[in-house]
Amino acid sequence: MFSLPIAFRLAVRQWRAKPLRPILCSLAIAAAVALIVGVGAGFESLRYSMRTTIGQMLGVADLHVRPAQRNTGQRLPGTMLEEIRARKDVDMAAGRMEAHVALTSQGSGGSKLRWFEAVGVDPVYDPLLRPRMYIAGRAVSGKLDEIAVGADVAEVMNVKVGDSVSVSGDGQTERQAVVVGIVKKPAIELLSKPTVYMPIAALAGDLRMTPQFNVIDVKLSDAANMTDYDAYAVKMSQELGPSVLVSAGTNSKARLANETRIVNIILMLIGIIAAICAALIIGTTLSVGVQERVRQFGQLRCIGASRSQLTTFLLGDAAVMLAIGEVLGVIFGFVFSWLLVWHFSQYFLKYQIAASSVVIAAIVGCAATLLGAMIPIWQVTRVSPMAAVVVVARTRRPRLIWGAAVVGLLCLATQLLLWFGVFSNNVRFFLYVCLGVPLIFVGWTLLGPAVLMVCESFGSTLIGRILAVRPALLRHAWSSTPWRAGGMIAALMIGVTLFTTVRARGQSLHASWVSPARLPDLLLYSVVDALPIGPISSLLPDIAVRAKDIKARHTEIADITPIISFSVKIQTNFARGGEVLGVDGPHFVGVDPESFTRLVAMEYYQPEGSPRYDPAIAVRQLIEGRHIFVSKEFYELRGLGVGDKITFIAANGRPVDFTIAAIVTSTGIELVKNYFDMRSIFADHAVTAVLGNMTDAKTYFRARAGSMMLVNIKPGVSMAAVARMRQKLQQEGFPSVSSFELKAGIGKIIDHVVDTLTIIALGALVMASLGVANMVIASVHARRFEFGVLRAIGSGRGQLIRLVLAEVTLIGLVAGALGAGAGLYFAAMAGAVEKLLVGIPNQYLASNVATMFGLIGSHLLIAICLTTLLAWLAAVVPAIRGAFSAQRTLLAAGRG
Amino acid sequence: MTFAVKVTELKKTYRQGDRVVEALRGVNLEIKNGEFVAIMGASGSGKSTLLHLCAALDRFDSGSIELAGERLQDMSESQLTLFRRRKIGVVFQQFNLIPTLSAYENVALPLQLDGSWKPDSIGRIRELLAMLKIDHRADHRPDALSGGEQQRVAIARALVMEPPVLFADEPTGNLDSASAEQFWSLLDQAVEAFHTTIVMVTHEPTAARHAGRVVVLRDGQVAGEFACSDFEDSGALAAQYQAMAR
Repeated sequence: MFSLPIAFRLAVRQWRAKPLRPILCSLAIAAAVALIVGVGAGFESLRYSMRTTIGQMLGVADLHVRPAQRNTGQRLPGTMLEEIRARKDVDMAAGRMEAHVALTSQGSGGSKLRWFEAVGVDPVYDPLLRPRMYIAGRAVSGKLDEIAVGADVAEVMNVKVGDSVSVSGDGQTERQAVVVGIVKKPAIELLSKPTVYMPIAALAGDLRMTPQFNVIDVKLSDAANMTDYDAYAVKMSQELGPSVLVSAGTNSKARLANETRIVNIILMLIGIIAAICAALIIGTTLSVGVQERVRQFGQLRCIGASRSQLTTFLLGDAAVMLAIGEVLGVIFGFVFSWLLVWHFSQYFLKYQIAASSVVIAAIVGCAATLLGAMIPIWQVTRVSPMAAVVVVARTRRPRLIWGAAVVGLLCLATQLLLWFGVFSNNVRFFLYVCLGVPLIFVGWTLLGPAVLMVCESFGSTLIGRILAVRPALLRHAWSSTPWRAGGMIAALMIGVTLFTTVRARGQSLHASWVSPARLPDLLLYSVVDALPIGPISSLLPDIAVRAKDIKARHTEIADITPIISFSVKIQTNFARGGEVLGVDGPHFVGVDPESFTRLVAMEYYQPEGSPRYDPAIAVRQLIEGRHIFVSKEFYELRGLGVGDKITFIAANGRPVDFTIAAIVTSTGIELVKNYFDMRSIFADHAVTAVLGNMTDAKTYFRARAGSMMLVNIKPGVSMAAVARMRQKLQQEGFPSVSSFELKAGIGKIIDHVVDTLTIIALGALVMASLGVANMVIASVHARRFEFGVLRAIGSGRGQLIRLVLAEVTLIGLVAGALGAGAGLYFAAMAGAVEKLLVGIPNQYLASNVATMFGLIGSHLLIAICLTTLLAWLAAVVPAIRGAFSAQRTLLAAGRG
Repeated sequence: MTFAVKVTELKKTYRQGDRVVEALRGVNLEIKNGEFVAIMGASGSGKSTLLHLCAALDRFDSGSIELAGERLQDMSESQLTLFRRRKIGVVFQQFNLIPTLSAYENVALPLQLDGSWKPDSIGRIRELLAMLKIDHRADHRPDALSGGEQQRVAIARALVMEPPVLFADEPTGNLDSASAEQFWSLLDQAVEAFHTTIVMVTHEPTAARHAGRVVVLRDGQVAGEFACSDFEDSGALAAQYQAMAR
């Protein structure tokens, strides 16, 4: 039978009698709840900002309809737009016409005429489907004399909103237009094209033709309730006929849903970690409470309290702590996330919080409390009425501790088995997240008491000498309560694990993204070299020779690789996977495989369901020749995979077979594609481009001159030196674009994210240190008599303080070492999970063994210092309070 | 004839480190309803163990205990809990009051645990406290009460459920002589009011004199017994006890 009012009354009275520890425990719950609310709000705000930004950059269309033959200048007829709009699933559709126009402006330096890419837009639907960010002004309306220009165009033409420019479609006939808006330039110099925007009717008029479309953006109605956009695109493609290609938009609902799922998984993981951390602290606090009040519980049993009533009393304690913790946690969480959004205002458009985060946080708080209360509840139900009259001795059971360590090792082995023993990626991911990750924590936690015992035996002499404490006093400091100490170590360890994981992953990501291998530093190109194969380019020296020459003349260059790109014809117009590979065929990108793979980190895509291939063998095949690499888009859209052959027409008119050796992608290109409005351009190129050997390009297609070179700069070269070199190269006929700024930007974003996550990890550590403080208070309280005796036989207060600090040093050392170990392990596994999720490998720590050990050493040192410092901070007040208590009070504690 | 307490061949051993201690080695004892029995013995004689077993605070190895007509060895853990709550009152030397509750709340606790709290319970508790002369201290917590006051609260708590048997373990061991005398006189009044059987463990002849009969334990067995009325003063009673306990 439950007596809740008594339970609450006892809990509240207990609080009033000894408020410090329940407050610390409530703060631990509050920290866990705050962490989840804060992270949830942070994610929600970030997701909102990303969604808005991506929407502005990429558009929100679900589908893009394009002509199937894209290199022939074909466009979609105007009737196609009507046909698409008439479909019942379509909410809105807008056509987009792409061409070139010449602009002339009258500036202080005289008139300027320049050709730019021109986009004719639907004034009504385009702002809805492809919202753009404007530095000044607005989008074009239906008026034919309005024009919006990119910021780079405005810079080149020296125009501002309200200025008048001349527009010409053929370079001869001109009309006047007014600049009504300046569009924000994409942040990537590498691929940005100076563009002007005008009403589609105006562009068609300039080109003296009826409106036609290069692409029709389609947004499906919510009523269509679409989930598989790719399948719908294939179906629509078939319905519209072979001349049309329909592809799913990058910003589809499915993609957003997927993104949301990943964010939720991350939130869930953080929730689990926070819950475990809080549960350990709550468990330890309640357990300490049970041990201290065992006599009181015995008294209650004597007067007839049942076990379930004692459980209720303990739950009453926990419920009061939970209620206070939850309220404080939600408030702290709001404040924490608001400060986070305010601090990183450049990444957040506005503060957002989802009710689900608060609900999850509340549930996690309850779950943590219940989880933490489980062992104390079990302990309290075992309290005998005899506890009221006699002190029951508790014997240490080393066999149990070693048994736990063995179970811990088994947990760690099992999670490895879950990773390496499961072959389905989906099953592996969810099994690992739901079972493997908790097993890692449980494994390392169960190792804690055993490691503590070993450290206590062997480390007490050293720590005793350092802190001038007799080692004999330290030798049994924690081993008499190994599980409680183990709980504290585990709580601290989780914080350190998070901290180390975040720092190690951050370091790795930073190094990985900022390293030249992700994205070459410079791209050199030559207008002359880009001319069709013919007399001019044949007069130029071999591109490989020229690349060597450039490298020799510019000492800033660390590495260079030449690239030849040209169109090739294929023998058969074959169809596969519903798509047609045009007779004009792909662009053959000839590379020097050795230097190219050195400069560009190729990521090898292994399609699920297809036989796996060895990337090393694929590179060898590329070097040997008659083999090509294709892009992931090529594979997805064309359906041609590893082992398939494509027959090209060689320069001598004879057919020559090339075998697909690998399907590749590049993280750098993925980033560019996803974050900037370049997807369609890249998709166009990628589906029509194959990567081959430069020797094959020369042998079979007589290509000699290259159109570009990729360059990596030596580490430490300043931006100014790079700028000077680029100027020189331009004078030599090689203009260049740089990814330096982009990398710096990415590095900065990664640093910010890592810093934010570090704050979360530090939050977990602070939460754990509350638990340590709790335990030290309990330990000092339980040993008042021992302290009294030590004082009576001549120990000074300083010696007692040093004794307590020496004891917590042991805890800090063990927690730091285990936490760093678990953190580094987590970082490695996080890399593996990331690879599983996005299919892209990421460099872990460093490829160099010496550097890796250096990093591991530094992580270990930081973790140990951090935990020891926190343990000291947590212990210093209780230690001083204990040492400065009146000797009479200390000795009186021995009388029970 | 029904006994308030009937102990038959009661045995209890426990471990002390590697040592096995035989605390009780076949104790037989019969206590009539309404009787006040003092159990005496030297340290380690098993008197406290006997009280703990009879009060259903601990389990015994063999033998039998019948309390108010019910056999303890046949009861489950939850039945024992209910039995302790309703049929047994215990007063300890250390008082064992809940430190965070007031005197009144300590006395009310058994009623609340039992779920038998009624509107008139408040009046009943107040009466009990008045009878034990601590009603003016009802709202004080144990740490604000003297030893004698705490022990009186403990008696009130033990009697609030009107148990047929009251066990007392060295009840005046922590009291000065004046408080002890007051305790005995108030206990007499309370017991008379509730018709309770009292089993008390003590090593003080002065305390034992308040009982009707003294049972002496030695090495876990009953060494003998005598009626207190046979002795005129504590000295004579002490001498008899010493003779039996030796």
